[in-house]
Amino acid sequence: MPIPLVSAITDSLTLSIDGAGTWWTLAQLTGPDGISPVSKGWLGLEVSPLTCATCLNRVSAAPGFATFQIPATPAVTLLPGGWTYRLHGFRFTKDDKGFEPVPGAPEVCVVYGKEPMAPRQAALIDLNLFFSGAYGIHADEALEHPRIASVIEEFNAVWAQLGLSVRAIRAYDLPPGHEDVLSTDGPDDDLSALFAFSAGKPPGIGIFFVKTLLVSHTDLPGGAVVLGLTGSVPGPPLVGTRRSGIALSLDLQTGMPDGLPLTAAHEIGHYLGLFHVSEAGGSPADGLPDTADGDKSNLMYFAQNPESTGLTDDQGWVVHRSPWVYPPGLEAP
Amino acid sequence: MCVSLRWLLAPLAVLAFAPQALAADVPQGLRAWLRAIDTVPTPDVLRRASKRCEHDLDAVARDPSEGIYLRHRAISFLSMLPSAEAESRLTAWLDKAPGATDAALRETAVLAWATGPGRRDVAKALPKLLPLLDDPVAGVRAATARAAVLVSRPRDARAHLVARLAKEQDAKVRAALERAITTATNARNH
Repeated sequence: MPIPLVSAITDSLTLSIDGAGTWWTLAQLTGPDGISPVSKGWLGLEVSPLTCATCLNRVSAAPGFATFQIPATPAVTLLPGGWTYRLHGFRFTKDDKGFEPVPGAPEVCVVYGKEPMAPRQAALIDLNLFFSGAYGIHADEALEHPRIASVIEEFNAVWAQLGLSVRAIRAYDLPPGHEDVLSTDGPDDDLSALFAFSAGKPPGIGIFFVKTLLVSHTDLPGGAVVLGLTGSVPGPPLVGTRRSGIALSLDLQTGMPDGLPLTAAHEIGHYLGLFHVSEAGGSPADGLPDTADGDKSNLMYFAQNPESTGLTDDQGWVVHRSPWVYPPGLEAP
Repeated sequence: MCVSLRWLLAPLAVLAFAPQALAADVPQGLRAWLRAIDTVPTPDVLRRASKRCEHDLDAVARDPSEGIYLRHRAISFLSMLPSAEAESRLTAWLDKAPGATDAALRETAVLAWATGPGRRDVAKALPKLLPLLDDPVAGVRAATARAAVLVSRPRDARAHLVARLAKEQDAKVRAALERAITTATNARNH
């Protein structure tokens, strides 16, 4: 499929795929020079279609509503002219053996980037915080609650390295019944129901505070607890979709220090387009030239670690191309 | 001199008989997956990370010297492995006597069991879970209410949830039951 013509005044775009009931990823992306930052045939080379770690432009699949940032690395240039892409829809097989293709014709939305920004340029983001009532935390006093206040404090401290700070913070209560997320894809999954509450709110990254967070797929038996989960990497460029948000578990984080603030900063990194600098399985991860595999000092290290707070220039380059990041003096996108 | 030597040897003897951490030998590859913030391995990946995967996960879950997140992750990972040993070890967490372990670990076990064995074998899912609606620990009862609608035929749980609600006194468990009843009512059995 062709992407409507890329002009010379932007250096990035965000491609979103809306197709309920199926996981979506980019099977191929080719520029006007014939080079494919998402290479043809990668699905046959990787262990799973969930992430292309061998693609120059990293892509990560998501269920129902998937989003891809192009470029996701300064090593790729968004040349003006015609770009084409191919999509791949799939699902987990019920026998625990792997994945199978699913045909479909999703809707595609393209959001073009703003004018280029420097990797550490001063910039703003807006946050919409949603409270499930877990641990007795409600919107009216949430910003004074020590755990929530520390999330904002940590965000500003960590992301200040790249010039980012929070401009607007809005807090909302969720209706009863959303304290736990126990299913994360499928026709009526908890995560999509949660993120749907971002609809109609002002533009901002939705952060949902729940008690328990269990990753459980409709087609694959079993469930695993996690500390946080972003709807997709990167997050959708608009509110109200079934992947528009970050869920954070208030459980299992307590300790000295509380892991919640760093988990929140890490998940926001995913939402702004960053991948892990290394994965638990040891596979190559973000593909950025200036991040080191296994760097425990980086915010995007895969495991919780109080020392994981660093960010690099190339990571700054990526997040400054997120639709959610805007320069002072402009309105939120 | 002899007395001094005896006092020196005594602590060494104590060390020799000190209990070894249950999960001391768990491979680093499996530990890495347990520590991950937001990623979940497939069953195949877990098997590659440990040759004795079920044993190692259970060892981490039972070891009080391990971090609380790792213990909960280990229990939940057992639900992902489609083996009789994984099911047996996970089921043992449901069967632990109240007070024999941290109640929160049993809550995670209940939820994980429902998404794993509870989905693989429809016939035995509710018969195993529903007795836990009468567990003495409120958190386990609440987790069971939520778990009963995670299995493959959630509508079958509705009558049992309604019956339990009629005698439940704990406000949080009542709220969990009410939510589960709504889910069961609206669910398509799949």
